[in-house]
Amino acid sequence: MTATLTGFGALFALLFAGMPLAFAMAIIGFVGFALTVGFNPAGAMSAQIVWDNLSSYSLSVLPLFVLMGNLINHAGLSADLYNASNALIGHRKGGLAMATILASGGFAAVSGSSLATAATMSSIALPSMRRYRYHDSLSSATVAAGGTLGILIPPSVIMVIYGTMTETSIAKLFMAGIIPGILGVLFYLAAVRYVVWRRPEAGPAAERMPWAERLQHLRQVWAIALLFLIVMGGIYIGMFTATEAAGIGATGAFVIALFKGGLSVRVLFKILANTARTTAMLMAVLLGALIFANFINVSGMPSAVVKAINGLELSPYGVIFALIAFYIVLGSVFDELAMILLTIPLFFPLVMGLGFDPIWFGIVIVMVVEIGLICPPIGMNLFIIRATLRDVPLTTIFRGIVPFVIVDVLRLALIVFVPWLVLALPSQMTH
Amino acid sequence: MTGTSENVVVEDDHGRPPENPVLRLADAACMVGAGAVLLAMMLMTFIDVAGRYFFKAPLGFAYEMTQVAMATVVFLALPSVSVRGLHVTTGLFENSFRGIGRVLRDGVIALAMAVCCFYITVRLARLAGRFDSFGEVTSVLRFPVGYVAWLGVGAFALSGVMILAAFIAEVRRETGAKT
Amino acid sequence: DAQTTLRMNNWLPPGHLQLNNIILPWAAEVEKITEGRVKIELTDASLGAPPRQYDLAVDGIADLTVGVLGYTPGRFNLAGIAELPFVGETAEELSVALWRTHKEFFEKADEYQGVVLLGIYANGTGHIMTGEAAGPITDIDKYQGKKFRVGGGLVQQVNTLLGGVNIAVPAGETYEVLSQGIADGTLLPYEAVPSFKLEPLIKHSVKVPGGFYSSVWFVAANPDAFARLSPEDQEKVMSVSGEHLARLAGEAQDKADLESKAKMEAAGTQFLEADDAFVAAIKERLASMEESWVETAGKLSVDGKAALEFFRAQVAEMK
Ligand code: NA
Ligand code: NA
Repeated sequence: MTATLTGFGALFALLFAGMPLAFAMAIIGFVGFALTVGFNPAGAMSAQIVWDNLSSYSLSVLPLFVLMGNLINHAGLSADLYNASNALIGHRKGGLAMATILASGGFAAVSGSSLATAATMSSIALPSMRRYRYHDSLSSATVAAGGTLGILIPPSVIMVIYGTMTETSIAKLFMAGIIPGILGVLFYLAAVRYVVWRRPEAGPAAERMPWAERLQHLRQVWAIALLFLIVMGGIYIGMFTATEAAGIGATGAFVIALFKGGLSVRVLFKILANTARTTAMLMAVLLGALIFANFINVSGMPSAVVKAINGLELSPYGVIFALIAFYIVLGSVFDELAMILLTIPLFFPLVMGLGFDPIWFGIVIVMVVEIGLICPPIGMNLFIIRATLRDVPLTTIFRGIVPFVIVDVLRLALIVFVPWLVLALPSQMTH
Repeated sequence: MTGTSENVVVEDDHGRPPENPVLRLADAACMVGAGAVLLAMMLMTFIDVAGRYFFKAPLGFAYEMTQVAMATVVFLALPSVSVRGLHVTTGLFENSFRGIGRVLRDGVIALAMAVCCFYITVRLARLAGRFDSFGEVTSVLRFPVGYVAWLGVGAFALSGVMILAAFIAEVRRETGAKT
Repeated sequence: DAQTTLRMNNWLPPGHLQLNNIILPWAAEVEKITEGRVKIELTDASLGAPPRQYDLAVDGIADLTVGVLGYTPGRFNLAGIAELPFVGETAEELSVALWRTHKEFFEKADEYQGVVLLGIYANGTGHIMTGEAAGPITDIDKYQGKKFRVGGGLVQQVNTLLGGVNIAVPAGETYEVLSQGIADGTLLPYEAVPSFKLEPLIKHSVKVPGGFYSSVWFVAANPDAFARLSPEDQEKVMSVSGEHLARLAGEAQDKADLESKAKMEAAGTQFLEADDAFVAAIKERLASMEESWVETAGKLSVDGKAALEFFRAQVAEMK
């Protein structure tokens, strides 16, 4: 136990000093494993982690879904999505903010990452909200919160990583995210309505568009809807596995980009290269975490933690609440990917031992991570907004996010107490 | 940034290509390779599924070649990620270091990262040698697994070099800015 | 006497037959025969992917490992004798014959470098299992173009030679590909069916008399870890390994095969046996496998024909 705690302490020290996550976790994991088992085995273990996980079939969904999102974005469909949502509800009070939420949900349906969703929407939606004199606190919070839908509405990078680490079906996790994702959209819309009800000047209405123009905007987004339907519908009715769906989705996006975006060889190369680099970044972090996890494994910490928690004699739900509280605290200061990778080996066996469903727990984890993404002081999505709106102080962004964090917590509570919302769709798949 | 047809994600995570012409060429060559393999992996999955449904003839090797392609893409992209400083950090107190302190800190980190890469190079080479000596192959196409592992050996060695090169470039910029 | 704890890597899901009915009982026997001086402790989670188990032992990442030889195609060739068609049916006869043939013919070829080999043993024979839509595979024509989920090793070759299509997905995805109709059926021993909850999906199971295919497992120790035991204890560990372990594993798997067959029967699976014409067709199409195995053995300076004859004689002796 002391060895593990020292390990965690050293890890945080390296991270705070600015060492990349992948290397910090790999170094501490290696040293810890070397001290516990031996230097040579530690080296062999590290090389094997690298080899096994890079040549992994199921992890190939990562580059393929990232590619799909990048191609769709290139084709200009993310802007189309925003314009269509805007045509629909932009003329209402807070309408542009609500349109941002809808468009984020739509883009989340083809992108696996929250950061990509927030980054895309911030470049598209923030300028027009500024034009209509939206308060920066509302517009920035809307983009940050909407962006979190990226990992809950399938496809989702976080679900792939959770599924890989816990051997839970990625296809079922994807299905399980749909209802909570739709709830997320509705709850965020409610949060926007609340803000403009309290302070109408925060989100003035835009002009109402004539119906002909509205319909024309709506027609622009059929391709994205069709692609989502094919990819997720195909998984749902059993046409193909998650990995195959990713390949189909990317190919579909490729075709859309060819026809709609005038895909030149140069741009295609840029998209492919960036997708490959994003994949390598994600995989490097995953490898580091797995090396660290093997140190935790041989240190005997998992059994010790399980023993300690059992010693507290909490009810199963007591344990879940304790874990959620722990995750939210951790998520407010820590990177979300690292948080998942570090804690899953510790907590997953414990939660399964209490008889909870692995799919349900996966969705709970994803939602806790969503909160972490927008929870100050360290919320990655908030920083992305900050990078786009350099003249807005972080405190303004923090102030605006509060209603959205509150609806997130309400939604999480709903999911915890009504697991059916998560399990309804995936349970249909097996029969 | 207009955000309509040009993708922010595409634009933003490009980072800075290496200054040294040899490394610049290596970076470009690796990324052309990674991109081509990624595109091939995408098309292969599509053809495999289409073949299964429309011609009752899936490719058969799609599973194992996806594994090979996945490893190849990441190996080839790793040096580029390293030289462009794209590895994910937590971004907590990074900006509390300034001037010479920052350069020193970056030097220590770059050295540690490079040592990591070179050590993995050595250990992966041992694994690759083992694949070769045992004659390990994929099950359908009998493609030698060792080839991919040797590619990884080269990729990690190049990544280590790239990390050091990126640091040297940083030092040059710092000292150049002062004189 | 000092106690030595050996860390055994565990990559199998909780409750898996290999773990509960083979590895744990064997570990208990080791502890008992060494009067508690040698203790085997399982890891909380796996330290490496399934195909890397042999390497985990070589590198000392774990002291003991268990794995499937076929997960690393091309690496181990001789034990493939037990995976060939028509060499035996039950796990016990295949496993014991395999160990004896290993001692008599294969050991000198020194295939298992870098570890102390404690045992190799085989599954009971696999069967041709199909779902509702595909119907029972009772002749070679019905086999043509059928898509079977297959594991690693020789079974892929068996399936292709018979005219089937390999759907090679991880074992955990078998349910998914069967229920979704991505695969028409699967080739498995009975014992594996309930562990993937496949009973409701398998409507027909056709047995190939004489043995269809199998896959071989190994148990290996890291040489340095093994050297930590006193020579006396090493001998004692060996006495409950080798043929003893082969018999233990064989019996456990045969028992599980019967239990699983009963479960499948209760779930409505129809059991059939391949008729003479079908068997003849299978023999003809798979004949090349035996030839190529004999050839490979020859390259390793092993008289393959004699080994096969010896192997079959051992199986016959146990009938
Ligand atoms: Na998504
Ligand atoms: Na956070």
